[in-house]
Amino acid sequence: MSLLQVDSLSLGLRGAPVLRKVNLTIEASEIAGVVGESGAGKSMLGKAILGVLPRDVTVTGGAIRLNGTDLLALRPRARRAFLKRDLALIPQDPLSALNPCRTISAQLAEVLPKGTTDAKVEVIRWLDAVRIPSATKVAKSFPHVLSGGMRQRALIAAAFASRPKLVIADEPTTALDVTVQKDVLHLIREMQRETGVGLMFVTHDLCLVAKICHSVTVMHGGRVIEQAACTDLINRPAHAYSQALLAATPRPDQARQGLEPVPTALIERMVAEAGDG
Amino acid sequence: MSSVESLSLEKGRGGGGTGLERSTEKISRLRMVFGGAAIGALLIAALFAPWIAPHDPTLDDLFLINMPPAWLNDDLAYFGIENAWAYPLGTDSLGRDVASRLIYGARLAVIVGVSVACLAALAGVVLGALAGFYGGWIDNVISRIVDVWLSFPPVLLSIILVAMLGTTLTSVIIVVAVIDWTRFARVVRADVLQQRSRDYIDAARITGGSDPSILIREVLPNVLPLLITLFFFEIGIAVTVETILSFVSLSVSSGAATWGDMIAEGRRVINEAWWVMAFPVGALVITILGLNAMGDALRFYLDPVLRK
Repeated sequence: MSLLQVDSLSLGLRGAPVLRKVNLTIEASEIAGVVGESGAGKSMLGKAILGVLPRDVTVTGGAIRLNGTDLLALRPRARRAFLKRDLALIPQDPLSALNPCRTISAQLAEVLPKGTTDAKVEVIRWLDAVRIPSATKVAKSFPHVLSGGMRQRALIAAAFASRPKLVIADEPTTALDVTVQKDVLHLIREMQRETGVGLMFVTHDLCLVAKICHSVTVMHGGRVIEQAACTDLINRPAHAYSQALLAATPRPDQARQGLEPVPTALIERMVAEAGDG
Repeated sequence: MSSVESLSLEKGRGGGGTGLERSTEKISRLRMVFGGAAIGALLIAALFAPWIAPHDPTLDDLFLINMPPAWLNDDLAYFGIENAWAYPLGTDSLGRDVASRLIYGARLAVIVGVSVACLAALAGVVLGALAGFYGGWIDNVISRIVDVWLSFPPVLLSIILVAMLGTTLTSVIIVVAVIDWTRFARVVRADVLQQRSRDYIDAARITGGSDPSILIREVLPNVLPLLITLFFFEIGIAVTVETILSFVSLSVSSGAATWGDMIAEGRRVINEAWWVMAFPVGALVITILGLNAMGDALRFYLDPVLRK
């Protein structure tokens, strides 16, 4: 049984389709990348799994199974309990993901699993684990005192501290500058290896996917275009859109040859095909 | 070159925080001191009125009509008193002691101001938070009610309502609260709306928070600094409205010592006895300035982002 199994999930925004019959499987201790351009529906997929869809977006079909339990069939209270125990999020924007009027330690202590004896010690242990310097001081601070990178580290600590089975990282490095991005990426991979959780890594950056993911799902216009193991996708992309995306990605090993934009004709053809189904 | 120099000079001076931060803090401290002093004086006058006031505020004495304040009183023989400081702020056109009336007026102002602010805040926060947090039809219904409410001219509405309910202390409090709850509702709704779009609300949901617990534990603490500022502001407004109502004899039954009553009374004799009107006006201005200063200062000290 897979850790996460999304079965032909469809979402609608007041009648307009947002996701169309999306399938996705994530195994335990797998890093699964989900890539796509803006509006491909990759973030919505994450939000649907976490149960925090925007007010107007509704599930129009399909199932989300976590260890075999269909999350969508659960009552709200049971689902919340499930979310708290098994799921965690590393958000896109670390600036707004921490409550500004509570200290880091208060917010971390909240996610620790039930029965933690010494929350204070545990919080500092986690802050140390994500390599935040002078963790004791940071624990007592309010979020606005910390830099973006530090906040993202604190949020990574919070995501793993709840001992989840699946972590969803929604473009976790987008809001950070390039020098911090690399550290945060390494940190996420390291924490994932240590804890053995499944990780869904949502991004628009194919380079990041190539670096850390085991499998990749390429999305466009709310549907899955291609699913493959990471090395296969990078070396032998099957779908024309994946090929075009790769051609549009800068690579340090290739000399300064011009990058190819994704051809408009291809997008138009895909939209036309999507219209049929 | 000069700009570079001045830049580095500014940096050199910085001890802790930037110049702007320090001056904000200094201003906040000044506001705190001024507001604290004004509110403190008001509260002492209100709580201990019977012990502080030199005379009964309603006791008239036709031998002591329009007596000037003690330091201007150079004709003690005319009024037949020995110590001018027995009536420190003089008397009004019925010979009542201005200082005593001012002190008892403060008591009424505090009762009305605080009760109104509490009632208005309660109604406004509950409705505003629901509207902002749940949105949709709940927001529509509450917001439209607020819009309709705001379309009535407030002073006119309060005069009509008091005329209907009768001129008692309770009815004045109810009327002003009923008129002013919309202020809280609007501000709280806007702030809750803004907070709930932040990611930490989603994060709280993922860690298993239910709607009520998220609203109370995550959202409302972030709205609190604003709410406290507004609370003090509202006390000032309620005091002003009460003054307006008693100015037109529509507050607590006339004869009782209220600032509005004193101002109305003093207006008639302004040419002979300016002090009858000047002192209540001064008290009103200082009270409202003090309340606003205190509200601003508290916001600075309560907001984790502003405070250092």
